[in-house]
Amino acid sequence: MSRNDTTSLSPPLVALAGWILPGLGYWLIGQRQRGVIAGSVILATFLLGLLIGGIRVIDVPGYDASGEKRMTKPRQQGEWRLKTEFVPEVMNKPWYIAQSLAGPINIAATWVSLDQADKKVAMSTSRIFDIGTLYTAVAGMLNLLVIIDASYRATHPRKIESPATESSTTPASGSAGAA
Amino acid sequence: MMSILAYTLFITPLPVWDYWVWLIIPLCTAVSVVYKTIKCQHVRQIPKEAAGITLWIIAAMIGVAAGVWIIYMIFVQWT
Repeated sequence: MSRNDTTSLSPPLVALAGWILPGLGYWLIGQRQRGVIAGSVILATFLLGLLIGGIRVIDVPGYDASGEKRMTKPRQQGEWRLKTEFVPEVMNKPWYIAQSLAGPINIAATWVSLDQADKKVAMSTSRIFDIGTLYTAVAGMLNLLVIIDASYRATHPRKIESPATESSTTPASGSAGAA
Repeated sequence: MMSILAYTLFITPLPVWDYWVWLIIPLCTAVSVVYKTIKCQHVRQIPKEAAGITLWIIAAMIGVAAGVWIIYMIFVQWT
């Protein structure tokens, strides 16, 4: 006995849902348990990063350590560097790209981080900052894997044996994550 | 005592300076679980497979650390 694991949802929609809430892409294509597991682990990893390093591990491009906008010189007449030198400014803090992949939770964390910077809350230092950054960035990159896999599964139906007939523990092959 | 009183969740960094090495375990576990969530055909396979790969990652990390320590001792400490 088998069933086809198919969906009529388009991959971009599944990808967008997976970005908005980690694991939601799997949920939409009917793989709810998979979505809950992946989503909860990704969110827990991101939150653990914030817990370890403090909210200021979200180091936002275009802002300095005190939460002030980085301007071109002379400062009073200068323009915001994120506008004039977008790529160099983002590449100066590349881990923010990975953190952004975790979804809107990173946008909220960005807002809180800048708010705390305004209140003169200092960044964590050295190793603790690195570990917090690592956790949040890895959470984002894991979400990217999940988004790609969910989108792939949305377009590539595969036969899944019912649990009653399942006998092997062979991992699935042919998914996007197989590479 | 004062540092504990001044601690604010998610704002102040966690005071784990003496235990940071242990933070590798939750990170490896998270990577393993998500990886196996993608790879496994059946969800019920995930816990066992993820536990296995977590142990492999940690064992490999310990092996690499031991190797680097030996190289350090040979080329820096003993020469």
